[in-house]
Amino acid sequence: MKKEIDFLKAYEKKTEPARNIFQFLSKGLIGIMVIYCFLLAGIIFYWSILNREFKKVNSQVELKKTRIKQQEKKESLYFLLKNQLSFLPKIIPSGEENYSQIFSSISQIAEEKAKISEIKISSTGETQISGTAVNAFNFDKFLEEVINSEKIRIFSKIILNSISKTKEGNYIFSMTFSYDKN
Amino acid sequence: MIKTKDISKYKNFLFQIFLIGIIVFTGVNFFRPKLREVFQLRKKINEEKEVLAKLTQKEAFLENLDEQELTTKAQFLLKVLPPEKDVTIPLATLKSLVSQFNLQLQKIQIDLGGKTTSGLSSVGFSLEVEGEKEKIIDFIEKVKTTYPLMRMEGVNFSYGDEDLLNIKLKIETFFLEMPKEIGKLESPLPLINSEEEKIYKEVSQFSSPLSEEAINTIYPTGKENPFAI
Repeated sequence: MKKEIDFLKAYEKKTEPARNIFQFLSKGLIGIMVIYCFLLAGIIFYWSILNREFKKVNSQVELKKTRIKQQEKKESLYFLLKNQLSFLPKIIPSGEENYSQIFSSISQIAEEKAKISEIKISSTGETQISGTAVNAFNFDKFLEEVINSEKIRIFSKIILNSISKTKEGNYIFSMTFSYDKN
Repeated sequence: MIKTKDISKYKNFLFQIFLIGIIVFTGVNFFRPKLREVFQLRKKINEEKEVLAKLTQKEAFLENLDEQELTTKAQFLLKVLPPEKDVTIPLATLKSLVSQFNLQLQKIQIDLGGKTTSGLSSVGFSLEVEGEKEKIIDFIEKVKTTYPLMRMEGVNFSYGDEDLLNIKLKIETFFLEMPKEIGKLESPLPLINSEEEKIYKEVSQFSSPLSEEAINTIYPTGKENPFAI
């Protein structure tokens, strides 16, 4: 009877777990490699799509830029207009003093009661007047009118700066007040 | 002998080492830069899309503007707020207004040292005018609606001889430099707000006592106005 002796048996038994690990590692690495290749291919594909998209958007941007450049004259004119208009409100204040209105109001109040010799109106609306009333009665009437104008909001902050009587009996006066814009 | 034996020990791992080598090599030299490129491209596309949206909006805005209307408005506003500091036109305008209302020009002083802030400069005029009361009032009202733009800084009324009214008024005329640049191509155009529209309506009523021919004679003949559009 022929008896076979398996000399490697003992060795095989001894290295079985190591071989399994080795096979697992080999298969695992191949798997990783396959996944890696798919990932790489995906990235390249996505990159090419993005690249195409970028070129498309870029060409659209260039087209728009060219079209806008063609309308450069319109743009310059609009810009000039806007520049001029943005400065105008700074130069023309909304509540600009109405000099002729102030003058007319004072003249109307004075009428026959007093003779206004000078009216100074500043850009802030502060008004200084000086004039002469022929007698105390007329001056009183004039003062009354000025005070009434405060009530109907034509003038405000009325100050009588000076008053003096001349030899002839005339009253020379000086007043300051503000014009009510509203 | 020992060395060969040592190498043969790793013979079975050569394939795996080779795979790992490929992964590492392509990862460092190809995968990583490509991935970075992808992120950069995405960022760039988003930025370009934003620019495109702005440009589209601007293009539509510009298309809706009427060039003829813009030219008329801009030309008119250049008369109201001239781009270059000048004394002759405001002076001629004031003199013309004075004679238009049959007034007597007693005195005129010019202050060239007007303030300059962000392109805006001014020239000051001090006037002494005499005439009838109604005409003086009309004159003051007319100055307010005359171009080049004139702002009154204060008025002194006094009665002179023969009941004629005498006024001393300070007037400032303004000049605004032309914008040096119109901004970036993709930046949106600043909108004209309601206040500015209102002020344009107000200013569009302004007029000048000087005719175009008169203005042309004031400027040296044979020279073109460099600001003509």
